[in-house]
Amino acid sequence: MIVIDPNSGVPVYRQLVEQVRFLIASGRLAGGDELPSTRTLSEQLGLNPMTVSKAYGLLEQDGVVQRRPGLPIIVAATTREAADGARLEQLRGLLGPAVTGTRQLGISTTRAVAEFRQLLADQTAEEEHDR
Amino acid sequence: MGLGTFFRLLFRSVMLFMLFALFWAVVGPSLVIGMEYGNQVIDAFRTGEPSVALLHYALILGIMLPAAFGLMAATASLELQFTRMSWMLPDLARRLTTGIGLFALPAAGVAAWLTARASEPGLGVAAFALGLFWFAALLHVADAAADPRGRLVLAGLLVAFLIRPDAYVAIVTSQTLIVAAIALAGAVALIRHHTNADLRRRRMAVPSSFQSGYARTQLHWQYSGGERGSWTRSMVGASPSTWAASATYEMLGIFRYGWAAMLAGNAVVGATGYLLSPSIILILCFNLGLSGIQLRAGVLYPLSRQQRARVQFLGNFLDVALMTGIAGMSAAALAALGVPRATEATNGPPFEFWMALALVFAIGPIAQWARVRGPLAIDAAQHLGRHVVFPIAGWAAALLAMMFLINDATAIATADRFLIIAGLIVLMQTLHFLGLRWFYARRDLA
Amino acid sequence: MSANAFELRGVTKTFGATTALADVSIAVPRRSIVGLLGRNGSGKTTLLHHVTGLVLPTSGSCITLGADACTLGAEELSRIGVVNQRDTLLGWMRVHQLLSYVSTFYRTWDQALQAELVRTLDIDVDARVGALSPGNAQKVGLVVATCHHPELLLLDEPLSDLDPFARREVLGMLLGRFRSDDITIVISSHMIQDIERVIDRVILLEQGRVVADAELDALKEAHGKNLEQIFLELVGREKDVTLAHSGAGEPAGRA
Repeated sequence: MIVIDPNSGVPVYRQLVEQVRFLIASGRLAGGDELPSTRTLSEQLGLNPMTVSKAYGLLEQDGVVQRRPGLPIIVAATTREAADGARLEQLRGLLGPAVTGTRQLGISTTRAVAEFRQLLADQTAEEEHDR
Repeated sequence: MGLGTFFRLLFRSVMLFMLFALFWAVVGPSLVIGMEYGNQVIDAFRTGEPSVALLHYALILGIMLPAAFGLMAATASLELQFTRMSWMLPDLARRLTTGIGLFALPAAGVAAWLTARASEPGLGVAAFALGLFWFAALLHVADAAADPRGRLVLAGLLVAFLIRPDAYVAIVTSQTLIVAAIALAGAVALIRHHTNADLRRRRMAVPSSFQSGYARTQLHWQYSGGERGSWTRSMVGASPSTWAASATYEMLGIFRYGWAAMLAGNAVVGATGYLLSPSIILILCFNLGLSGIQLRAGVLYPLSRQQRARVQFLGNFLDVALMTGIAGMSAAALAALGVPRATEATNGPPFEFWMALALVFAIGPIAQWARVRGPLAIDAAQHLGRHVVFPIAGWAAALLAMMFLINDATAIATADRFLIIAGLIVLMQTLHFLGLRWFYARRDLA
Repeated sequence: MSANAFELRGVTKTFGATTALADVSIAVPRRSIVGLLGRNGSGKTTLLHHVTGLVLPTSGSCITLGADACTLGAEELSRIGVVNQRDTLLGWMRVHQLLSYVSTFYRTWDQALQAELVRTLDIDVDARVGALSPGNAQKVGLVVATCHHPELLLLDEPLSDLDPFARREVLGMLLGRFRSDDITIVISSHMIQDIERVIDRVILLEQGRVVADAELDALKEAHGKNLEQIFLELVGREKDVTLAHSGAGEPAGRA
């Protein structure tokens, strides 16, 4: 479920945090779901356990997961509003580079929004066609 | 540059061997033609008069010295050629031939000059040709890739003439011209054959266990036997003596036959020292600098530097005790059997031998300092100088002590001289211990 | 117990006219896996020799496991494990003989762990040590250095002769040790992409000087690059690389 590229410029713990957040925002992980232990995850991914622990620590700090002594790590329960907020947060993160690119290319806001709308429509059409 | 290629190979490992070889090449002829000639040879050499004794010596030296040099040249040259990479070296054959040739000339030259001095120039020229021949012969004998029949014939010839030196002298003096012509032709053919391309190709394929000299001994060590695993289990603890046992175990593994051969050599040295002259015993110093009971360098044993210094000291002490002990035992055996010694005029009374042996014990630590950084690694590019300098320094110091305490000390009572040597032993061992402590506290060990 | 596994304070080491280490001050915290990087001859091996006390500093000092490295005793030394770059194994023994010989040095030798490592690293214990391939000799060296549960494991080029699969195995094995033991591991290696996966700290040497001594994550955040690119940048070779890149990209940029 989690894929890490240790040879990237992004620190591994950040990649872990982002992926867990995305899995939760996309609904693939729900409140109360168990996450693999630090040990297991470090074994599975061949990573330094300190790095995994650091990522879980940050997620716990932000209230995304709950760590309880002697028990598995679980995804923290969230309200509908908070989940929506998290999803939008993810979307903003994804669109950030697109915005920068749009400005660098000198494309107008109207044109860019139209393009985005078109891409979304194409995707939906494709999915319906597949069905 | 031919000289460089060859002599760089030569310098590394063969320097030590050269010291031994030269020693035996110079002393050897006396043993072959009989010790009683010794004084006649020296007299004849001093006066410059033609002399049969000097001629005999010179002609036998003309076999042994070039043969020893030939063996050294073979060790250096073959060491390189038994590796696959040697084939790729540009112009190797020519470079080696030049180096080997330049190496052969002085070896043959010395004996030729001495022969000419003992008789007439014509015989000197013949002796030069013969010198080249014996050099080339050993170059061939030592070559594991060469035809074994040829090697056997040449080795047989060498042994036959050393057993019957008078026959050799008779043949050379009566058939000078023919012998010289054959020798020269043979020498040229054998040296050319040494760098023959087919033979060089074959050398690369020689299994390593058939290689000559040191490498062969060591490889043999590694691949034969060695089935002793766990007897050290109960022996390894914390005290220096158990670690010295470990060091012995490791050393026995690395230098198995080499060490056994060295100990056997010590018995021979002890015997010759006892029978011929006490000063011979001093060459034990060279053995003490070569190898002994010690832990490997650069390995992290769970031992503090101070503990390592103590293990090193203990190992060195055991070494010198073992070496002088073995030499002493072989001398004692000869004494018990009543084997006749050389006259006291040349050899001195027996107690002088025992005194010289005790002196080796006393001076030993100087020679052993050669191994302070670790055992001799034959292929090490560095620190080889120490294995030459310290044994020679030890040998010189022992020789000096011998002059003062044995040859020129007739005014001091024998018992007092033994006491002085005993004091020297205590002093040197103390200095050795303090020196090792100092060294292991302050120097890099890797 | 000190918080650092080892610490160098202003260590300078000269060999004759060559300066191997120049005023090196670093501290390696316990429970970390450190990548010791640097070009050939940058002083990595000399630094590790200082930590074990085999080599003494010309000036400065080195504290290893809380004690002065110059005077490390049997107690401290038996808590360290070392894999040397050059072969220091006894070639004439068989592997099982070597293991049982070395095991007698240490009170804490773990036979079960030895058996496990021999199995996971696929080592033939009946082979003659001197006849092992370089890669297998490296694996044996690792087992020899690891089975007494050292608190400090110093690995000088442990991966250089291993194939990609064996490198994964070895790094996995080291992570396993790190998960179960209270251990600090230092890996000196040129296999930057391989060790990037497991290390959490980086010490980068260039001509005997410390160019970087930081957490891997901090370095990545500061440079926004992967470890190999950071390495190239910090040892001053990045200039050439970017020139080559921009040269190739130029026509596209103009168009």
